[in-house]
Amino acid sequence: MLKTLFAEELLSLVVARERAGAIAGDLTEEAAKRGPLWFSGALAGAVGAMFFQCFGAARLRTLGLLAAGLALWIGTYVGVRVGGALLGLQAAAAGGTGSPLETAPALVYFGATLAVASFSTGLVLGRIVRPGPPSPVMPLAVFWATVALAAFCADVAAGRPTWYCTLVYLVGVPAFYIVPLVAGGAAAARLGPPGRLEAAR
Amino acid sequence: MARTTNLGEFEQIVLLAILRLGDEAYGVAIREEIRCRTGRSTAPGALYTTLDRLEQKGFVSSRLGDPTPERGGRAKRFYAVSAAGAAAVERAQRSYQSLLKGLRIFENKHA
Repeated sequence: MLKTLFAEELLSLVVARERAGAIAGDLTEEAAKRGPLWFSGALAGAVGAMFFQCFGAARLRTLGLLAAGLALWIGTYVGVRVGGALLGLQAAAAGGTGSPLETAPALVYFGATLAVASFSTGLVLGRIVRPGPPSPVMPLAVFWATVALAAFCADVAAGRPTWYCTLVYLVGVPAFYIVPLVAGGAAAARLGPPGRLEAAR
Repeated sequence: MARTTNLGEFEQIVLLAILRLGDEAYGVAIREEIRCRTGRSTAPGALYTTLDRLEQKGFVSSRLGDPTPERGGRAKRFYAVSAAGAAAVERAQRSYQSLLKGLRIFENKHA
C-alpha cells in the first residue's frame, strides 16, 4: 500500500527502519477502522513525538546537525544562484524585466534553485553524517516547518494574512525546502554506507 | 542491563497492558487494551516513545512477527515484559499501596 510505504519512509527518518515498518503497519491496520484523516494525524504525531525523543536523547547532535544543515544550505543556495547567474539562466528567467520575481519563469527558476539547494543539502548531509535516528536531515526539516508555521501564525495573529504569504508558508516551504531536503537524505541513504563524519553528541 | 529507575504512571500502564496481553502484545492491541481498561485514549506517538524508552531501560523486549496483508505487508512487533520490568511494576505498585494504606479517602464513596 502506498500510504504504508509513505508512512514507513517518513518514520524511518526518526527511528530504525524495521521499527518504522512495524509502526507503519500498526497505523495501517488501525486506519482501516478509523479512516485516512486519523492516519495522517497519527503519523504526524508519531513522527513529531519520536523526533523530540531523539532530540531529548542527543541534543548536541541534533543542534550540531541543524547548524551544519543551515550552513550547508546557505552555501549551496549561494552557489546555485551564483552559478545560475554566471550561466545566464537567471537573466533568461527574468526575461529582461530586471526583477527576478516578476514573471512566471522567474518564479519557477527561483523555486527550482531553492529545491536544488535543499536536495543537495540533504544529499551531502546524508553522505557525510552517520545515519540516525534521527536522520541527519530531520533537524533542518523540522526547523523549516517550524519557521513556516510560526510565520503563518504570526500573520494570522496580526490579522493580515495575504494569499501570497499563506501560499508560501503552507505550500512553498514544504514543496521547495522540506520535501527536496528529505528526498536528498533518502537518496543518500540508498547510495551506500555513509557516515564518514561523526556529528557531535 | 536494566537500570534501577522509577516508573512513570503511563509507563506502568503500558507494562501492565503488555502483561495482560501476554504473547499478543503489539502496538494496536496495547492501545486497545489501555482504552478498554482505563478509558484512556492514547496517542500512537506517546505509546511508541514509551515502548522505546522501556526497551532502552531493559523493562521490555521485542520481536518481529510475520508480515500480514491488512498491515500493508508489514510485520507486527510483539513486546514482552522482562523480569526487571515486572519487578519495577511490582515495586511501583507496592509504593502506591503503601501510600494508600491507612488513608480513609475512599470510605465515604463506598459507604
